[in-house]
Amino acid sequence: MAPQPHPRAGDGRGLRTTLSLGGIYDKVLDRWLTFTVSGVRIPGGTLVVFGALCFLVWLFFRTRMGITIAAARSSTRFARAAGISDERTRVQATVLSTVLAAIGIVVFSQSYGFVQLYTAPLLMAFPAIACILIGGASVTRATIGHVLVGTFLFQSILTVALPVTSQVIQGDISETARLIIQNGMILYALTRIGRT
Amino acid sequence: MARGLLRHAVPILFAGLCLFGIVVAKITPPFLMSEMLVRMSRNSVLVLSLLIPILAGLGLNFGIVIGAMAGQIGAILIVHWGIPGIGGFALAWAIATPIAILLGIATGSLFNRAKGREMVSGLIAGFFANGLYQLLFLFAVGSIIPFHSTSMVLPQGYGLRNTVDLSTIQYAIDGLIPLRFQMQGVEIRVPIVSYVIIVAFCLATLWFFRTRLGQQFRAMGQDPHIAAIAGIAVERNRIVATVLSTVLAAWGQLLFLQNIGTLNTYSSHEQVGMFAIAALLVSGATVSRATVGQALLGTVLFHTLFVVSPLAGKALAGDAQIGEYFRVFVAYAVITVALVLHAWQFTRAAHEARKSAR
Amino acid sequence: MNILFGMPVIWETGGYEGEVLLGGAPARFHSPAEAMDAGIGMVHQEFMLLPGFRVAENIKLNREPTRPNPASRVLGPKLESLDVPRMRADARRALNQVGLGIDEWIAVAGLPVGHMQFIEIAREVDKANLKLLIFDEPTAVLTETDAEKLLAIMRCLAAKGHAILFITHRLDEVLAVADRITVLRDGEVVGTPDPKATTVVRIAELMVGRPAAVTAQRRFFAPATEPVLGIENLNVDMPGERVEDVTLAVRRGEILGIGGLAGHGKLGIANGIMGLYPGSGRVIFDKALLPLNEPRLALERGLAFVSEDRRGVGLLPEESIELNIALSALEAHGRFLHPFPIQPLRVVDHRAMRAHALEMIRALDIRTTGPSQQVRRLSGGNQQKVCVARAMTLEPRLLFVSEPTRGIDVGAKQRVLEILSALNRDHDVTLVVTSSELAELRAISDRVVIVCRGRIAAVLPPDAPDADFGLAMAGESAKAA
Repeated sequence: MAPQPHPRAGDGRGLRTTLSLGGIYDKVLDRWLTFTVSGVRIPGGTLVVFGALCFLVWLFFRTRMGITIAAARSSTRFARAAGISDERTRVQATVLSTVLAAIGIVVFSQSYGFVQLYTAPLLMAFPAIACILIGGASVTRATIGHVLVGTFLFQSILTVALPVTSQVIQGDISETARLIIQNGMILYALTRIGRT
Repeated sequence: MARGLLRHAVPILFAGLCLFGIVVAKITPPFLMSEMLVRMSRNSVLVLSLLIPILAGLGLNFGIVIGAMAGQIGAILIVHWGIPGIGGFALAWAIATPIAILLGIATGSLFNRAKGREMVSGLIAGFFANGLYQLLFLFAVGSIIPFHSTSMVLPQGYGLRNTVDLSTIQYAIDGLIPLRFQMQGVEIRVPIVSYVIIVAFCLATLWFFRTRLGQQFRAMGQDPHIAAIAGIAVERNRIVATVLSTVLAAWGQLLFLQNIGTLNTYSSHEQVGMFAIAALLVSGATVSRATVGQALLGTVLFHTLFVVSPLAGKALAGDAQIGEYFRVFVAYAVITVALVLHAWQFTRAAHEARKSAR
Repeated sequence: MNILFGMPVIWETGGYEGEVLLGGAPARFHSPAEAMDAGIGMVHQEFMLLPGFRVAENIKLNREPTRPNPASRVLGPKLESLDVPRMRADARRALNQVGLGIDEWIAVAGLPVGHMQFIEIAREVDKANLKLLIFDEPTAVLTETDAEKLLAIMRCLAAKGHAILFITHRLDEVLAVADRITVLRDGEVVGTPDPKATTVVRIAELMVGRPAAVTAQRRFFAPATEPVLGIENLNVDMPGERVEDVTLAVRRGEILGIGGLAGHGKLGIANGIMGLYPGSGRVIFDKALLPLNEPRLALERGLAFVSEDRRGVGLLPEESIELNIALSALEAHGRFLHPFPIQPLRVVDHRAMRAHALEMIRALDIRTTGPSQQVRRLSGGNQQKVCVARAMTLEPRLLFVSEPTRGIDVGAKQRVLEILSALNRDHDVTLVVTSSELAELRAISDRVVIVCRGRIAAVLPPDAPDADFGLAMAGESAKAA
């Protein structure tokens, strides 16, 4: 039905599960502005793009629309009294979140070098949610600071988990550790809703 | 008449889909019958385990995955100890029960802390428990916990293999009283004792609805606040409901495994919750209302679709995989529609209640 | 009554002091179950019936007669089977006692409210150990005939030896059935008149009490000005504060007070006009029709509202003072924004917002460490000033203020009332003040409207006699006149 895919994407019937980005946009951001600090390569371009997005999100929460959305989310009843449409802000917020997620996966894949199809996108949400919760955010309140701290901590735990646990248990435990930590964090957040 | 049709739109739609699939794939009655007899005996108890939490107002218990894990722990242990047959099955059942009770208490307490979000909490709790389960069987077994049956352990010396052979307890229940007959050249096996157990669980559930505790659950399901005013220990009963559901799920999973004969250590339990819930919803049951009859009807419809859709996919598009995708799509679509309908009815009911109060 | 019945709300909100004596012995109930065991029954104001349950199931809820069965002998009495014939027989007997002839095996949903009330009473009567029965405003939802039937049943129950605690604001009913009367005002006992020697007027006076010496500098009002807000046949569906068929005119430049007992709809009027709860009827503001249920339109047209629910509706407690003050005007009028071609993406002008907040803090004397302090950290009185500041920032021509002094200390009360008077006097804002504190309404208003059962019972000058206010609040004025 659809036009034939490019040969590297599939064998003519459906796309492969994992598409290599080698030679397309593999590491375009990572390589741009890359530099080395005492032997460690720092992907400068990716960091610059991330920084720019942080700034844009920060700025957005200072625009009229951003304030409206934030107010509507922290108290629906307050928002209604202030003449804000609850439904509209809900849709706006979801659209923006989805757009950012789309950008996020493009940035992720250029660094990772592959695009994963099918079930892979399903596994993206949970680690992200766990990150922001570990950063100290709650279901009703989150800042860019929470994002930065949380991502750093969560990824550190997973990176450190491997060498530490291998003292006791052999094998790569980080995937299991990720499951436990991320779902544990989400469960904890679920039990905290509506409490102060 | 038209209203009745509309009310039963969901099961009628699915019955239609099944019929359509049967016709295009030219499935013969004996084949369908033999498949369905097996599948019903495997899955009915798991679907039944959902009823009590619905009665008590907890919604669909996605946490039955945790019960299924308890069942698997029992199964793994008796294989390790090498206890075969009905004795092994009974022991697995006896081991799984206390584990399921403990896990049920934990899940129930979690639900009490996350009131109004039981369903998503149950789902996540299942994922969380899956992590712990992996930690136990993929890493702890053989390294921290001594486990010497080498046939079950991975070559590296720790962690269980992906499959555990349950042939020692296969058909332990199904084959107790064997009944086989030929029908148009197809051998049909009827697992009589399994069906006796399923009927017993159905009757027990019906009986439970008519006990004092069942009446308390029903009152809680309608309005926890009023139930509390009437002196019902709502929080405690919510835990009891979760425990009952978890235990029943553990038993159901064991019944399922003794029929299949192999255990996929890390994946057998994963889809239990989704498929049981989808099966229940296919019958037209809702998040707040489900009967024993609906549980059975839903199991029949959903698993007919299971049998039929790959064959129909092959007959229509020349590819069984398409039918397979369709089936997964149906399972999730049914759950999504049911949850959206529930949210919609909930807000509408609140609105109606306000109106009628004037 | 919530204390007597061990309702969870008491323990969740801080418990109580003092002692309850039951049959001479001190009693302290931590849950409704304990209270019920001690022989206390309650007929709740909002119905405590399960709509999906049958009448008999509701009457016997959690007290079902049961029969033991094999499983229950092993696993405990909770698993005994329900004895349906006995449930029905018990329910029938109780229903007959309260004179309700309906089938005991039909569902409660869809029954008329009057029936539900009697089912509640039947449930309490059915309890074998019942000593004290509490009625919380039982006649509020009943028709005249049903109410009389209820009073007859109460007398009959009392004659059988059940003590009855009858909580109501309908004074004639109290006089008709009570053996003893206690009048409460703001949580304090203000009198225990003898029902045989007192009158409706005397009780009404006790309810209202003497107006306190709150005297803001009130400019007496020339009553001839034109109406700025015309309300015709307003109905508002606000839970617990329902408004029914209210017609009222607010004159330009006046301070109109709205008073009445809790739950009678005085709060619903402002909430309905501002579009916060579904309403119907005609509202004319400034000679043009104001569509209801559109909060944004109401704000844009020059109305503003200081809500009675400060924490829920009035403030964003986690946010700064300056944002709270600026937010409504930012939303409704697009103030405090830097210019930018795409309207929704205009960035907030922090400097303007800060300057305005500082001005308001000075003008209203908000005690704070600075405009960026979280509103949550302010005292109740200062939070209320922030609410007023936000409404003022909208530069409204008509301002609704609900419960301006609820939950704030005495000094701040006086200050808030002065601010409101000044706003009316110096900025020419028409004010509609709704308050449970009649004294303060009488101190600052030009006219006081008393609402009872969702309707306007009377429009009184602030210096009318106490008894007139009390009678109006009890809905007696029509009969007395």
